[in-house]
Amino acid sequence: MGQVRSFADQARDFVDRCDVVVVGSGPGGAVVAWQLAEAGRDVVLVEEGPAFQPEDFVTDGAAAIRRLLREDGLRTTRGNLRMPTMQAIALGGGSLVNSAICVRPPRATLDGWCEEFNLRASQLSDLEPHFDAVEAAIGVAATPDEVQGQRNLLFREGCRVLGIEAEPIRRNVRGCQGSGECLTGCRARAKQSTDISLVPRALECGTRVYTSAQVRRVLVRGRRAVGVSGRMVRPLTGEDGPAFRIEARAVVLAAGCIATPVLLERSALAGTSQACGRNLQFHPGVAVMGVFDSPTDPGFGATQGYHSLAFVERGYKIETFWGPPGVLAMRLPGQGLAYKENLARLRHAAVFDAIATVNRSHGRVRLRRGSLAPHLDWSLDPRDLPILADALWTLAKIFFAAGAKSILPGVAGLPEEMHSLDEARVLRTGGFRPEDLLCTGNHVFSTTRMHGDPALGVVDELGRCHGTDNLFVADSGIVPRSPSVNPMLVTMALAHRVAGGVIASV
Amino acid sequence: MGGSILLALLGLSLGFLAIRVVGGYPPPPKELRALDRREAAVFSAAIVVLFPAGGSLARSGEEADVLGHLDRFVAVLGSRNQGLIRLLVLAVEQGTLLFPAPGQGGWRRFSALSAEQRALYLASWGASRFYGRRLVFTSLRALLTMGYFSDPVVEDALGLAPRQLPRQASAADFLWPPLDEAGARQRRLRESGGLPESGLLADRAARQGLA
Repeated sequence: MGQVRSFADQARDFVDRCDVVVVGSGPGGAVVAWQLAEAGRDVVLVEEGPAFQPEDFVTDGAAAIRRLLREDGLRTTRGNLRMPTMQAIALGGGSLVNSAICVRPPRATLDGWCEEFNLRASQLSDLEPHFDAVEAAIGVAATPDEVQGQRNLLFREGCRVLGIEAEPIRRNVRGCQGSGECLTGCRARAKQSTDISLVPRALECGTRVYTSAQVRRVLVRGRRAVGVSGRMVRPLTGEDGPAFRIEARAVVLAAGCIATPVLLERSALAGTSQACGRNLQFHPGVAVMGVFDSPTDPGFGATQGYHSLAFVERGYKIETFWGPPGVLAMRLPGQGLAYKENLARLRHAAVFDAIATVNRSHGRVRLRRGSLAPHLDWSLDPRDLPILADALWTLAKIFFAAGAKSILPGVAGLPEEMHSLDEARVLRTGGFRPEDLLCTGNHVFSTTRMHGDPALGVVDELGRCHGTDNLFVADSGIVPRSPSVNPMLVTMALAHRVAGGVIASV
Repeated sequence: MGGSILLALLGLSLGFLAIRVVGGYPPPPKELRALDRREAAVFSAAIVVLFPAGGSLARSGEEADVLGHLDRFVAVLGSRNQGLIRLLVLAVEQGTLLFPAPGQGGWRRFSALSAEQRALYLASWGASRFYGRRLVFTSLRALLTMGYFSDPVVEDALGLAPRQLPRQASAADFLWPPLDEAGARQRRLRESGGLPESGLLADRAARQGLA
């Protein structure tokens, strides 16, 4: 059995030594730590956030985002629109606050990577064993009907009427209670986030886990990474504590697509590739709220229980969605009594969203001067707007097919509420600007992308940083381009492969 | 001579601006941790307009203590985000200089406008084609709305209160230290002869059974 050390356990500066230090306990880092530990390596897993337990989760939206997310949950992109984007700061990382969606990217997407990014073995058939291993480890299964709830079933009904193929979402959830609280932390502990699935397995094999430990620098000697250094930080306040240094024979960075390039830049390692921090990509998400005559009981049902992959080739995936009501209410129009009347309609509402593959829209992560936080420069390329317009139109059609009385598309300059498909047709024609959309920055990737050419990518196919012998990256940053679907599973599969490379080298 | 007049005018302008920005704010209605009297006045003025009493959802923003929620929220934010929220307040309060509210005296500070003028003024920000103005309105309304929803009475009235759920700990939860307490739960449980290994192994067996 390994050992867990938290902020409260470390009164003074300390040094630890191991075979491999893994930075970050989210989907990527947890897979690597688990695999290395099971292969008998001496592993230290370092996580900046604290461990949250069921009693620590709060359902109040504002309080939850402040406790669980970086930059108090108020992080946004800078560019032609201010798009909110979230990154967890907790043991389990993003897996603690996402909707647990586990989808394999379509064959066409993965098979295109090899040619485009000068890779040799990243087709679906190459990655299938890694998908299989990860899915088995975290218990992926289709969302059962009993916990779909009315809002998810309305999506199914709308798709059925229109002849659109749709399916229950496969998730790493066991015993879902349908509380719709995935984003604020699963009080029922049904979601198999990595803090209760893979990290304990690593711990069982002897891994030492440091929580509330913020890595600030990768230590390097020539081409070799020799460890990491940083400080313990008090949970929830970030106040500095004792310093630490972990010496290791190999270093794996899995701090997330935003934090990893920042860490490389702080460690003067960004120069190993011109591409470090560049190629920042999102799946911008647009959502439509539908209002029905009958109550939808939106408080019950899986957060995201149903989706359709029928439009992936057109550049988007559509799915159901629910979140803290105070956050969802932002898209309702009006103020004063009219606004309050709109709030009262939430119990008759459902929300469907689309995540878009916008390959023309790139950005960059940069270190913010005097801070450990990043600048996220990213703009939505106007040439990608037709994809989002098409997605909004499709969502509108599904709502009206499911019997919605009206929809709220959340596009500035268009009617706030539309009562018929005919009225919604304006969505299809587009004609709006990027900043007119109420977008959220779902799914971040590619800032340390794998590429066969060191000038164009940060890591090779096994996650090793170009120009180094033993520094690896294993988070969504290495995904070379949009996987067309929710990226957690492909990140975990790639991390599983990276782990194999690390095991071979240490 | 001309220079002296210019200097006097400059001094008068600065004096006017200083009074406009900081002068004449009443004490806040309650003791606050983070918001000063100026910020409290601006938020209170916006709360009255956004969440008045009445309608099918009767509870007002004042009754829901949206101001208190905002104060608690701002108090625990990092300094950069606190600064951004203060900038937001300044933009709303002094924006009347650039975008006066309709009606007489529409250039007065936002918090000094009549309720009707405040509503029209905020509506014009929300409907603006200028993204920055719209963003200010959206951010302000989002902050206040999250505060409104943090009131359990509002959630109950909307039928959106969190469902009663047993907070179930996973066996793995017993491995982790508590958030705000010294010492690791793991150690405590070991000392009391409690779970860890057996619980974890049982959990794993169940997981493998599922897989």
